[in-house]
Amino acid sequence: MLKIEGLQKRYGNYELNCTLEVPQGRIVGLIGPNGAGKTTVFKSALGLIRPDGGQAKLFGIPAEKLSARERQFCGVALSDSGFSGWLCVRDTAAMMGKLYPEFDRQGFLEKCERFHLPLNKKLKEFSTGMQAKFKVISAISHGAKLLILDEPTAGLDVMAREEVLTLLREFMEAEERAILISSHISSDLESLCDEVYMINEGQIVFHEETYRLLGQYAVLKVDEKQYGEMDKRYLMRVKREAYGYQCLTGERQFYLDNYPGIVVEKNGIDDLIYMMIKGEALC
Amino acid sequence: MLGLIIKDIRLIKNQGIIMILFLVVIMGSFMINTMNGVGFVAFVSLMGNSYALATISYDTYENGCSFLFTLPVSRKLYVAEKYVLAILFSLGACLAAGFAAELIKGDLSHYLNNCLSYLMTWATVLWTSLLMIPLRLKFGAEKGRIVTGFVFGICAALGFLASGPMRKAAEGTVGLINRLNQTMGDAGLPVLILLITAAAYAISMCISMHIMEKKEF
Repeated sequence: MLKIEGLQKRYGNYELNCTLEVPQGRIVGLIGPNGAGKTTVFKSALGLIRPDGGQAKLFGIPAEKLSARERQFCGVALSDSGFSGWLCVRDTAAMMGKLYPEFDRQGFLEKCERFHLPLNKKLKEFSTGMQAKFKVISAISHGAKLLILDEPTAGLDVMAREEVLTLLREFMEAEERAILISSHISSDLESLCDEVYMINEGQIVFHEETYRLLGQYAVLKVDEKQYGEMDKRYLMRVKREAYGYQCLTGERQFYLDNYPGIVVEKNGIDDLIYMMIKGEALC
Repeated sequence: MLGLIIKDIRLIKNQGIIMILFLVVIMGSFMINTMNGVGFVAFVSLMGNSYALATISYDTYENGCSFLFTLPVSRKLYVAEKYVLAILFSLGACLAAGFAAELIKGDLSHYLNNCLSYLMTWATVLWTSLLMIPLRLKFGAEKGRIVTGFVFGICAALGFLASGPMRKAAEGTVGLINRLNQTMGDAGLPVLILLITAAAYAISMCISMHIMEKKEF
């Protein structure tokens, strides 16, 4: 569905270098700290900025050459942009009805009502949470095959976030669909994504299936003596702490079996981000 | 294009009260004879044109173009839609204002005869579009406004500085106009002006398309 190969973009000292793929039937998460390059990846994939090298292809077509017809199959929610705030939900429905042949007007309005979005109120008067919900509903209401969602759950409370995630899971029930999503809320990605890419300072530093990430990775907490004696072959990152060392590994079971005395914590995506950025790689 | 036009019409419609207030003031000025017919038509046409151009500001506000170009809308189509919208709004406003002016005077019998002069007024108004659209697209809403003011200021200054030579040229132009009228008839000159405006409009649209193709969002 989406293939980004060797994509490069330079802004002064910043350089993006990205390769990732969103296959059909998969939900792919893009994680990373603020300013890592997530939005730049999204904008390159959508043809909004021109890469300095490499290529992003949607449905097998270079992003900058996508025709209006192919764009119909791409639903987008951007964190810093959306429909004009001077329009109301009904206005956007009228507009999308003409732009998308497969726009489901009835379903769109029903979903807006289900999420308590007023149909005649200007979008700029919506709360942050309402705007986030509206962006996702708009993206899934016109027969898109690929969703590109930049921080779609930002500003939502727990209940609203779960509702949005349910919408995305419902979207994936049909075949031939895929999602590329970024979020700062790691629990959203843990429960939703099939695989995760991590980006830091413009570089993809990590790519893993979510079930492996949650099942086989771990953070080890060891003192100086334990660290000195342990097998370091499977340590991906190490960080000095007051008590000794914190280590990230992709072979949790190995350390559980061979080093019963050390603390092995099941990690989440937040731990992964922290260790990948703050920790040091062992040569 | 229809989707974009619907969006823009709804954006303008949402500013309806301000538009109606403007119209009331202008119509009032005309009715109490502080404004002549041509001035009234020009003012209303310019207003229609301004509303069409204002939609560019709405689109660019808060990075709106980023999202707009993820929709099934090419950049060329977007630009073309803005030029079409400017024509639709300024022409519609021009013809409606002409009709209203005749209606207020209480004599509609000359409306069709006067349409040509209304169209000449409209063509003049279109020159503001063909200057302002590329500037707005290139520099955005805020900077675009400043640059537009700067460009019009330069035009005014040049006009002032060149007033002497222009007066001489105008004398020559009167002769030229008379000759054109003799060879092409009464409709000749207006048609020529409309054709020149159309050509300038097309050139402006090509420049705007080039600007948009180069832009990153």
